[in-house]
Amino acid sequence: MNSPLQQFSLTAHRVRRNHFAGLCVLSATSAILVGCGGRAKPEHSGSLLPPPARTGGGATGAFALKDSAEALGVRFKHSHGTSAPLTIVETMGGGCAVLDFDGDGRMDLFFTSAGQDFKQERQEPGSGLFRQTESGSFENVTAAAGLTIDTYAMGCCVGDYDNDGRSDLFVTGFGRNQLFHNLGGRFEDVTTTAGILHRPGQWGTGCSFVDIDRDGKLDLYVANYVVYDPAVPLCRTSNTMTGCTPNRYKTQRNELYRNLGGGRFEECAIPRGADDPSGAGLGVLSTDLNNDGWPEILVANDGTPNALLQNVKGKFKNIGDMAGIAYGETGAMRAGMGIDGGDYDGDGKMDITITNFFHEPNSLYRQRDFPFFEDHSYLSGVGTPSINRLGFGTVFVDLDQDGRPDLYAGNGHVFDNVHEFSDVATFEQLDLVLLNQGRGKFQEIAGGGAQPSLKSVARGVAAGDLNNDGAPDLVINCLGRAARVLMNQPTSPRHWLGVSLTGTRSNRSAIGARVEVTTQEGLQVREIRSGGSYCSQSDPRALFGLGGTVDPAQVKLTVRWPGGNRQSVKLSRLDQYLQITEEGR
Amino acid sequence: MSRSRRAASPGSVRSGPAPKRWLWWMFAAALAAGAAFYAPQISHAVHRDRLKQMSEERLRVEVSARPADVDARYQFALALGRSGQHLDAIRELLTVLQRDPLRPEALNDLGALYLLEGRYYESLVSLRQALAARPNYALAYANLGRLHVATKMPFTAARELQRAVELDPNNIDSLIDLGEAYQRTLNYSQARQTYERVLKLRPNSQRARIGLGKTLFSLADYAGAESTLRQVLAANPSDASALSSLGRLKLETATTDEQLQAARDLLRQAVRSDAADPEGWYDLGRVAVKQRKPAQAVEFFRRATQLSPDHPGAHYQLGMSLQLAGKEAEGRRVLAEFRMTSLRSREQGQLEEQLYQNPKDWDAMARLAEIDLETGQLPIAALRCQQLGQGAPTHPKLPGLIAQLARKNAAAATSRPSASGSPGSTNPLSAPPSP
Repeated sequence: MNSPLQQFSLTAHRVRRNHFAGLCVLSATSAILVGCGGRAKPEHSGSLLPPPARTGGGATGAFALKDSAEALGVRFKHSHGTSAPLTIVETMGGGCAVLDFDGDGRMDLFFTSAGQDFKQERQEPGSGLFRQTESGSFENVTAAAGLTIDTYAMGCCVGDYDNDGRSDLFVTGFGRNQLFHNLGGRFEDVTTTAGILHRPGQWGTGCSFVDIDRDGKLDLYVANYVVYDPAVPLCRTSNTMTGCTPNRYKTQRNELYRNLGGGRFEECAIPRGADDPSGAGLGVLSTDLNNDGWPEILVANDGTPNALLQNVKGKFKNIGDMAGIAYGETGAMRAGMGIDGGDYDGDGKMDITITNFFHEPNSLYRQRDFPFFEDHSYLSGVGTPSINRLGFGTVFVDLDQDGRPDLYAGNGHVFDNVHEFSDVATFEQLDLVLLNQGRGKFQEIAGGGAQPSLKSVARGVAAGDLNNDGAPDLVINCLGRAARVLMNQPTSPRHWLGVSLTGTRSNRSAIGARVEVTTQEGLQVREIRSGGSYCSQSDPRALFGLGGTVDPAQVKLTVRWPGGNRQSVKLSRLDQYLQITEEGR
Repeated sequence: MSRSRRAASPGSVRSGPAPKRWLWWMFAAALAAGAAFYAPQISHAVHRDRLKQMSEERLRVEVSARPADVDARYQFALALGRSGQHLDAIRELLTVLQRDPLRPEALNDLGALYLLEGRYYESLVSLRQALAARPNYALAYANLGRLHVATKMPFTAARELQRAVELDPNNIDSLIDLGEAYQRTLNYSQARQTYERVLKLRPNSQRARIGLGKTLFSLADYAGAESTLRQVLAANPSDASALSSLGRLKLETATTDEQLQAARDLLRQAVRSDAADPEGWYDLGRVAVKQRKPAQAVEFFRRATQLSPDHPGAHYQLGMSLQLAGKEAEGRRVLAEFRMTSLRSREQGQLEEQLYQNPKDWDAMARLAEIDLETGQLPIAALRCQQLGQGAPTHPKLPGLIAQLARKNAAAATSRPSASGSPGSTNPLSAPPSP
């Protein structure tokens, strides 16, 4: 016989809760995605890259993303081990890079692969370097380039740290990070001699070459994730055992390597205030948020407050909290994965996007007045379509060449057995394409990839103009699956302008340079960056879609070099990659 | 005699008077024996039913007249509990349990009352004793779940409530609490299923409907969420919870100024209906932020934090709005405190996960007690210290924790009026008397 007291709903009546965190979705609109023009042949000669053949100068902005990995010869499959269910180490996947490692003006590709068993010190080499040939197809040159990576690799970033004109490669991973010096088409592992630390239990993720002190030498920032505890490989989610979330583990501090010259680095994160010890770091973005020439570093932290490390003359202060990017709008520590910066509203100020966990919206932080950002995730239309996806790599990329950066986010759950306890989430998910509509609004395009039905488990995403046709393509490293190369095929191409920079007084890669293009339609800003997205590296050049602009005289191009020099360039024609070398050496 | 033989000769019983008389006597004897056996129980049941109908005052008279009547005392305790006189109710229940130590209902109710009084360890012990006395006691599991909600162990709470619902699948209160526990642990699919089950059992349960609306919202089913919340408002247009939930839905889906204004109107209605609802004020503040009215936002967020001092979103937004309103120093201070709270809550979650997996992880228990002491959650700290003392009496952190708890309790006691008449010891580490 029940007494009335037995029916008390005690705490439910006593505790007022912060109801719900997230929001809803499902207003997919379909525009686009039809038609496939012939793939433009990559062309390049000297300092001026000729444009591909154009099919017309329409301005509809329609484009198609065609999955072309197989056709282009990019046969790469990520490997991560075979536990079931996957542990946190196995499920985090890897990144990819768009780089020109052989200096031929054609973008090459690099993908990280983890290995067969993260518990072992050495893995069977699986990361892949793909060189683009003159025909525009790719060939696997990993072994020939001496890029034998036997670590449980994860992230990558590119920069010419010794200013010898060749792109060097840094690869992070669970247990060990590696620095590869480019000798001219071949790489040499210089990790130890360069002074890159090997710390037990280390788990490097995102990274970025960045000249923190503007001395013309690229320094290196490396995010670290959590201290994995082998005694706790799995945790309970609902009634099911899954890999644990990072909340189960202690966070690791990040590393900052100052370039001493002569191929040597010195780790200085703590004295420089850049260690962010409470963050479970994943995506890293270096960008000059306040346009003072000193690059800030942002870290998307998983389940911990995101970091915004303001650069004050080479030293850093984490102002993520006061800036408003550390948390979601509800004060929740979201599961930050990938990160990118772009001026989506054309006000000349860098805004930030961060992908988050399932049931959390992707974040879009609009820069108000530095250091203040406003969470425009929902207001902009980014939040709603992302809430039922788990985002990883993300890039601002002007897919329709209208002069407004769109957003691409690769998605896939972290729990391979999520279907056992959720009737909403799936392990494989569709990517998300959000077209910038102007006035600060985005709209989802149905079907994230080339084929709307193609779901995958995306991790690293990088953007780059692989065929130098002015339409940015996408490269995606998928967990335990074949990599994807989505070739952007504009059905009505618009005019465009590409810029490739070479520093002289500044670092030779010109990383940190700010390139501004002003047309009658407004201002566009790009930065030359290393790292970003989720453990990935996008095209090191700046690419501008010019929308309705057809006259080169209407285009004003300005470069602010990392060292502070400003340089204006007059254009005689559009639809080309301009090679610009820093003046005044 | 076998059935087959009787069946084979059905007429034989009726044929002669002797067997009939014999049967009659047998029946009469059995009736007498049964009556003799059941009479006290029937009388007892009648007595209990009579007691249940009595008012608190009648029960008080009854108890005075017959102090040894355990049933009367038990009903009196329930009446006291229902009228909010928890301490008196606890005293009565302790008296009941002195006379009837294994009475599971009394143990469960005692646990519930201790929980309402924030005496978590006593609650835990009583509920466990209730379960020892009656192992499949669904309501005790449910209250154990509620105890874990109160002591910030949401995953453990969900597990106990799941057990309660397995044992008593149609208990509406347990089901709704389980739905809320699922929401708290971000297990929205199961939360939705649980609320839907409640609504099948009790279609007019507005609490379940609001829970379902919020869950659908979290699951990104906007249309479903709005329709569900509007059903609640159709029945009660001033339901503050439904209004604030709908207001939040409108706020978070707003992409135009007009939509923001519509959200604001709903939230204004919500706080007019229930001015003590921190969520309504919090969301009004968020609207003000989006409308670039930082001073107004500060005012709303302050209101929300006054009503709910632990509200993370309100604290965070207060810090941000203070900065935007030109009060940068105060804003930075609020945000610094918020960061500490956030990181601590992450660690708490991590420790709870450890304890969920291994309830005997005493290091985790000790660290949780430290955090509770740091955050002034003294009753929860007392609970953890008690558990640590029972499970790992030689744990190196225990003496320090007890000393710190005693200091903080003493400080708290001097700053509040004495709770005279409180049954049980004022020592927070004391366990309730063992029944």
